[in-house]
Amino acid sequence: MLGIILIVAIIEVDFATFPRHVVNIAGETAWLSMLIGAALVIITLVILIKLASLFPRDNFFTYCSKVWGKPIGTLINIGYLVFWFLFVSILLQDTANMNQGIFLPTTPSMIPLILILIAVIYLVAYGITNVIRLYQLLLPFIVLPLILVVVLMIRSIDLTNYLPFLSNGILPVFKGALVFLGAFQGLEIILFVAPFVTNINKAYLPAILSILFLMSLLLGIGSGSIGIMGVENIRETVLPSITMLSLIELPGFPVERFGLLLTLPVILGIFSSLAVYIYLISFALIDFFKIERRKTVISIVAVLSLIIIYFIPDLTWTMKLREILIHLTLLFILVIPLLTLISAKIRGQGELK
Amino acid sequence: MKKIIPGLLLFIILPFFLTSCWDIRDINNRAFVAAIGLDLPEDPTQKYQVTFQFWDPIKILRKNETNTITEKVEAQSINQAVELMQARLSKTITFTHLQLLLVGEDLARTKNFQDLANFFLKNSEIALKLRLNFIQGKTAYETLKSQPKLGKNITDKLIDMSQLEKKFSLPRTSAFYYFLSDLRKTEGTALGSRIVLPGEFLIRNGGAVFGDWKLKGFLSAEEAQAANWLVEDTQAIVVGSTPEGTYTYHSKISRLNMEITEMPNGLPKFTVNLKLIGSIVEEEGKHLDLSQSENIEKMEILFSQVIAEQVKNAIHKSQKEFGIDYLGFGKVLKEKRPKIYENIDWQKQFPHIPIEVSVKAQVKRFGLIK
Repeated sequence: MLGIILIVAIIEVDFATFPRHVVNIAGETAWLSMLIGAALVIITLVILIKLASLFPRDNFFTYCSKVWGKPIGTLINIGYLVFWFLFVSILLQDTANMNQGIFLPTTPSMIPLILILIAVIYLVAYGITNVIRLYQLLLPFIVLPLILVVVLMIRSIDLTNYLPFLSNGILPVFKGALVFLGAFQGLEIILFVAPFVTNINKAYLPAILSILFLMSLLLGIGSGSIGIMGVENIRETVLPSITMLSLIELPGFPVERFGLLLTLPVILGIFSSLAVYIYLISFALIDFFKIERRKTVISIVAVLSLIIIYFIPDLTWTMKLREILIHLTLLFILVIPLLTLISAKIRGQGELK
Repeated sequence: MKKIIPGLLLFIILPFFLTSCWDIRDINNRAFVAAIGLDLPEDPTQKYQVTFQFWDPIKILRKNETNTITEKVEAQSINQAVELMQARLSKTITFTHLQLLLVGEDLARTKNFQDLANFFLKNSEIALKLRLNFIQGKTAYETLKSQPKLGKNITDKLIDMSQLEKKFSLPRTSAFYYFLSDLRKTEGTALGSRIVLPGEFLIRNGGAVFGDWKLKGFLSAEEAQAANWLVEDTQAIVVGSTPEGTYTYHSKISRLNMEITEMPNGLPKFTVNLKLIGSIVEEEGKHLDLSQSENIEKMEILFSQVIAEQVKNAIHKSQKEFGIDYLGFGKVLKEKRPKIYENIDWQKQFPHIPIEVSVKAQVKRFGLIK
């Protein structure tokens, strides 16, 4: 179950843009950054499960205050809420930009967002169990097109696009690896859904296998984009993965526009990521303020996220905020959980002490 | 009942949202662009003459009839040209099936290619695998108006040619995005595809040489074949002569390697190692017994010399006549020895870089008679 949640929650708009973020730093050797980044994702995953397994019956908000004390704990919890709000708003803004740019250029950008959010509110109101059930249904529709994309790419790769190797030394490669790690929000969900997992101690292997599978796909798409487009083009392109697919050609094959293969994973990825984050924000607020009207809180959270995007002036700002979000992600998926784990271990807190 | 009513309401409302909202466009109400031609305008106050070739849906199923309509407009930008053209049509112009971009010589010589490409890169309707050709001596409009020798329209013909001729040595084949990619990697140097229109029918061979983002000249079919030994995974027909006879060799590249050594002055020295395999496909004059290994060796030496001469001519043309590195030596230097590349002004040094050529042609087969 945890594996499914992670795959579906992590995939969103960013898998169409992450090659640009990594290439901007590591250049032609970005594939190595992605490889190291994938290893960092696994290490982060292990840290998160380790922390969750110390407090298997609580979510992070509950035990954060126990570990850090009330003032710092509250501050960290508010930090997570702000981070998620920011993420949801940027995701909505990215969706609006994508709709305007590719799918529905003349439709007012708010209409598709409102429709998506109505469905999200409806889903989230019935709780995490229903969200997970839906994820199980969505998984093949997200993953199968991505597998097909990777297979299609292989034929068009030009190996000279990976040269020169390490032209700027190893440091940009490691920086690129951190950017790769930060490009995928969603790992921190483990800390909040752990109480719903039957035995979190047994979740290591399935979670690692799921993430390994997802990382293989992303590595395929990321390094394949470099091999097909070359770094000079990726740096110039807003959505490199989609552009890369419009270059793939199979003469005589009835399908011409392979870029459309990413439409379904992108839309479903956006929907599932929104669902899980709106769930997390809403239920954190419900728990914190002991509110009974769940649907009202969920609706307010959705509307607030939508309102925030009015404060993002243009595409340039969305791109800047995405980059800020990458750095914030490192803080919230790795730094804070790691420090919490160390602190809990030193103080001998948690059920397994 | 409490759940049925909202469910029913949702079911009734949902179909209204399944019509792509504001973006609904019936296929019958679209004008699909098959090709775009760009030329210098006749009106000096404008910047582009843009030729649109549209599919004519009514004629697509009719035999022996051209199934495209070709129209041109002049404007300050390509987007403005689209708007002007839209004013002449009852259907919405759609680029989802755009396959071909032709650029006239005069425009390519005066305009930075990045500016020409910008419209195509920004437009999400356009699939970037579109073909690109530069027209020597004529305009893109004249080319799109010309008659295809086989087939019903010129766009189809050119697309078919560029797909079938991928391994054919006389033209340079470089699709739009890969041409632009070469330009970006080399700060504006690349070898593109050429079209000539000597009479009623077009010929696609040779190459278009770009330096500093603009067209600098053309390569003939023979020159393109020589250049293709270095830039394409090519198959070529090579003719070699001895006092005894003339022999034809069908060859393909088995391995191309460029060795780089750094000279004491910090400049690189290239050694091109080209290995070919192929067959003797025609003999004239003295017919050799090709089952004898000494005759095969003789042929291998002959074709190695002929091809080495072609490669040297291609390098000479690039270094001494154009002074532009369209054969991609700089790209290889950047990939293999980036430090050397960064320390020199490659564009300036390229004409003086020593390049040695070593060719080894192998004869693997000789057809059905020896």
